[in-house]
Amino acid sequence: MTHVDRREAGLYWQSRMGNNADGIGGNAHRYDVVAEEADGSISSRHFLVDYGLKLGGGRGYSCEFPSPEGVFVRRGESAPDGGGGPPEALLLTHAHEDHLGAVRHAIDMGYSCPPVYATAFTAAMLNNSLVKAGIARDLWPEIHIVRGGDVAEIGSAKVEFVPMDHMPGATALRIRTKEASVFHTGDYKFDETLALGERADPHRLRAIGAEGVDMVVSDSTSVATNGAPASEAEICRNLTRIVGDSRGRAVVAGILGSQLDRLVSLGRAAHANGRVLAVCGRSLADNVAAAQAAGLDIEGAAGTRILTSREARDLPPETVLMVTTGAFAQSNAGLMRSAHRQPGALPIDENTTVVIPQRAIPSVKTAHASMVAKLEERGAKVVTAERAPELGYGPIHQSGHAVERDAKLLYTLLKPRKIVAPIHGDGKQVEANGRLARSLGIPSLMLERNGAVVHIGASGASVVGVEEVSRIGARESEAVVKQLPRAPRGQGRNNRAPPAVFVYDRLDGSGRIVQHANLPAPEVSTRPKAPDGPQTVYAGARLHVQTSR
Amino acid sequence: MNWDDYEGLGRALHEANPDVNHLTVADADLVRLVSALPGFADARIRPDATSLTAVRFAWVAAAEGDDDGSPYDGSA
Ligand SMILES: [Zn+2]
Repeated sequence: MTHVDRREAGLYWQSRMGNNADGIGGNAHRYDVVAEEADGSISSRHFLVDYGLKLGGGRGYSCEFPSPEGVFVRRGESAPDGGGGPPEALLLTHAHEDHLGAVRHAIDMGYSCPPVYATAFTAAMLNNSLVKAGIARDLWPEIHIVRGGDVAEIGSAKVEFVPMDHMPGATALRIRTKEASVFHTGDYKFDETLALGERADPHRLRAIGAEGVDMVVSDSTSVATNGAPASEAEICRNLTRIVGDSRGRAVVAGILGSQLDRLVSLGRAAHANGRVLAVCGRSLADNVAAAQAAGLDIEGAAGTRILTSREARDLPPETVLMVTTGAFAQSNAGLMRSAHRQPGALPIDENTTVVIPQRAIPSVKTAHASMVAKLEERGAKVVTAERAPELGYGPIHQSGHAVERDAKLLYTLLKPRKIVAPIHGDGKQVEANGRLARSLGIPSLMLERNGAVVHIGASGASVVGVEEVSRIGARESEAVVKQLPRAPRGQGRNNRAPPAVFVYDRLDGSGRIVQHANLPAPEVSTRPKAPDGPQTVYAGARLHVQTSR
Repeated sequence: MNWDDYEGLGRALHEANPDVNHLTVADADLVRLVSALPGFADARIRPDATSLTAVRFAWVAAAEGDDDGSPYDGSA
């Protein structure tokens, strides 16, 4: 495997996933902090930013992610396979699966995860991911909670957590050494009307720009979209009208589990119309519980209590706004189960208005259309995000990612001196982001694949080499699944199946199999549990975090 | 059971407190409810935030079941 030397003072950045040649998905980055010491020697430390999953690669895997081999330390060892030092930390920008979902798999494969630094909501959702995977508690990483403005010191670098608008707890990272300064956006947009967590602060971003930013590593997902985005406040007003027009009827909303800001808008719409808010379904419940664990006052923001489906069960349906999952027509989500009248599903009939305040992404359009048709067959009135404008309600969905206007604002505030490096996008999205930067007079570095090593130092920013980043393809082990007393899906509540057991294939950087289900056997960390689980021997170095408080 | 046995505690909480809202239960109440479970051995140990949150999610899992994964979360 190629190895690129990193011995010049400054920062090295490597996108290990997020600049895929085969489409958007997954995020993982490595930063090396290299400093020349007083005695002329070179010191080098490194850390990771995000470790997420790529879904739907079309190769039959549940997910793909960058291999932990050579990066993470195998349990019982003191250094990664192939040598080099262990990463000092894993910094998480936010709680979406494409940013943290691979952590549980690396642990499952027998690796230790370095100490994690994340905001409270992100930390709670990582916790949720480890619980869902059934990872024994003694294998979990150290999890340190940070807030906006906190600064972690890693070697000679200072890393500031900078709140951004995207989901509760979303943060960018400002990474500074004597020689270089990088702003890593994470996923972001600008919407000051989002209710949960800390808001992006343009004044702080301008101050960061004034102090000097060399490179912005930035989210490309929606940059090709122009025009003014709908704010969450506008979406809330439109949802309030839809609920108001459904007087005397049951209202069921289908969202994504992680759309807590939309849940707050639905709560406000319910409250304004004299209804109570209830949630139903595991992933939505997980996110509400994570907000509670993180100290976010979601009921205060919604202006109403949040009832469990059990609490709402005996209330007249016309007094409830029931929120469930299924905006992407996932096979076992609430709306889908209702559409197919599965046992225990929410009843939906001619007295029900269904609202889906989330546009379908291209890969789910067919399933989405057939779910809507099925709900209409049941007699329901269905208001989708696609239909709401033509029904006169206006927008009820907005992407969580920066559109052109947002990216332009960010670059104007940060004024990157050397370069913008688009990430988190397919070829077209990355190209649009780069074009926008160039239109502002900022050079752009468009990477069409993962693995390029970029040095940012006193002399500028440049690609110094490319390393192959191999991937892991994870699929559920059918042999193991067959032996377990797994209840069939779709049997309503208390359908508890044991966590899935995965087998892992090693893939090359473009997703071709190089080693089929033959990776060194992990020490068993998912159920069925080993009677005496292996101990975490690698605890990593604890970072010094200066708090903003 | 002790604080690390998050799955067992989640199941026990669900069985013992079917009428408590598992979504929005406050941390202090969660500690109190766990400490009151028969067979809980760590009643005098204050859990760290990570252990307590794991128990919270295990309770949600026991109460809500597994239906409705959102595998696409993150791309919207
Ligand atoms: Zn995201």
